[in-house]
Amino acid sequence: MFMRLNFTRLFAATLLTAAVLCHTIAIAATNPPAFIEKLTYSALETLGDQAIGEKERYSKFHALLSDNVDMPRVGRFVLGANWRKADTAQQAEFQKLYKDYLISAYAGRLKDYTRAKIRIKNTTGVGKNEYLVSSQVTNPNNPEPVSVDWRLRESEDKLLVLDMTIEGISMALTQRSEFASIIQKNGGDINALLARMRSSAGAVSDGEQVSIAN
Amino acid sequence: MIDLKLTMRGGTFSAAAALAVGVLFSLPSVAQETATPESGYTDVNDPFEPMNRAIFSFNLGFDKIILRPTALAYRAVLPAPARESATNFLDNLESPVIFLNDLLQAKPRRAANTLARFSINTVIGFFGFFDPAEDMGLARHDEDFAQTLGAWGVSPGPYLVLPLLGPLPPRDTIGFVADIFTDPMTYILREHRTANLALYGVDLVNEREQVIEEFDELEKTSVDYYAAIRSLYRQRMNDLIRDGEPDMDNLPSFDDDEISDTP
Repeated sequence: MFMRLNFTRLFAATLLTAAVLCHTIAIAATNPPAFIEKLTYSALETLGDQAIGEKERYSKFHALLSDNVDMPRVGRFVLGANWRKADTAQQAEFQKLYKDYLISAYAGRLKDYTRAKIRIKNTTGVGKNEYLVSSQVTNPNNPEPVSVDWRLRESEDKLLVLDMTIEGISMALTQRSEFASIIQKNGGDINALLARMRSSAGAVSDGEQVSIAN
Repeated sequence: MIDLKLTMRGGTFSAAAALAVGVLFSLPSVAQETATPESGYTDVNDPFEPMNRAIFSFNLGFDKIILRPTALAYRAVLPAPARESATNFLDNLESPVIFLNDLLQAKPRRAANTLARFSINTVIGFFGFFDPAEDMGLARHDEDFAQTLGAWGVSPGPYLVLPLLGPLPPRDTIGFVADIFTDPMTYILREHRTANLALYGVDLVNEREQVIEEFDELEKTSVDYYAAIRSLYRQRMNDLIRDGEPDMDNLPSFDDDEISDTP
C-alpha cells in the first residue's frame, strides 16, 4: 500500500516535472532577448563579412529580413491610411519595393556598426502577443552607448520584428510620416511614392550596392 | 548617436528673433493630459508647412555651404581626443542649466548627479576638459527648459522651423530663450560678446561634427527629408522629456484594424 502510494507520487512528480520542462522549452522557443541577440549578430556578421560579394550580401540580408521581420505587417503599417486607398497592384508593388528600400536604408546606416556589441537590458510584454526588448548598443569607436528598443510580435511560436526604436526614434513611425508626406505632396497619388522608391531601390535589386545606400 | 538637438545656443540677435517668434505665436496652451501619440508622433500639426519647408531649404543650404564643411575641417584639424575634450568642456558648461531643470522637474537624484558631475569634472577634470565623473559611474544626462515644459505637460504647439536654429516649435523656442537667460555664461561673458559668440560657434560645429555620417545617410535614404526630420525631432524631444523611458502606454498599434488613419 505504502509502496503503491509512493509510486503514484513518483509518477505524478515525474509528470509534473515533464510538464514544467516542456513549458520551459515552449517559452525558450520564443525567447525575445535571445532572438534579438541572435538576429543582430547575424545581421552585423552579414554586413561585415569580407569574404562574400555584394550580390551574396544582398541576398543574405534579404533572407534575414524575410525570416525575422514581419514585412507584410510593417509594410501595411508604414503606408497607414494610404494602404486602404491603394489598389491590389499598388499594394503588391509597395510591399516588394519596401523590402529593397529597407535594405538600402539600413545596410548603409548599419555598416559602421559591424563591430558593435549589444546588451539586453530588459523585456516587457506589450498586449497579449507582443514584447518590447530594450537594449544598449556600444560601438568601439564611440564611448556613448545607443539605446535601441525592439518591438516583437509572437505568432505561432515564432517571433518577428515589428519596429526598431533608436534613442526614442521609431523607424516605422518615421517612415510612415515620410511616406504619408510624399503622397500628400503629390495630391494623394501613391504612385509618386512608388516611383521614388523604385529609383532608390533600383541599384540595390541589381545587387550592385548594398553597403553604399543610394 | 542621433543627437538632434542641433540648436545653436544663442547670440543676442537669434535670442531676440526667437523671442519675437515665441510672442508672435503666443504661449502654447497647457495640455489637459500629457502627450498622446497623436501629439507626439502621428499628427502632422504643421500649419506653416510651406514656410517651414522654405526655411528648411535655407538651413540645408547654410549647412551644405558653411556648417558641414566647417565640421569636416574641425574633424580634420583636431584629433579625436581633443574633440572629446572639447565636448566634455562644453557639456560641463551646460551643467548649471541642466541642474536648474532637474530641480524644476522635481528630480532630486538627477540634480544631485548633475551637481556631483559638475564639481568633480571642474576640479579633478581640469575645468571640465576631462570627464572623470563618468568613470565613477556618474553618467551624463541632458535637460533644458523645453524638456521641463514638456514634463509639465505643455504641448509643443505647431511645428516651426527657424532660420539657422532649425526645428523649434513655440514650446521649444520659449525653452531655448529661457536656457540663454538662465545660463551663467550669458552673464559671465556679458562684456565679451565675441568670446560668447565664439563659444556658441564652437559648440555648434562640435555638435555638427558628431552627426555628419548620420545625417548624410538619413538624407540619402529619405524619400522626404523634411518630413523625416520633422518626425525625428518630435520623437526625439518626447524621448528626452521621458528621460529615455519607452512610452509603453502610447506605443503605436500594429494591429490591422487599428492602424491609424492619420499619417
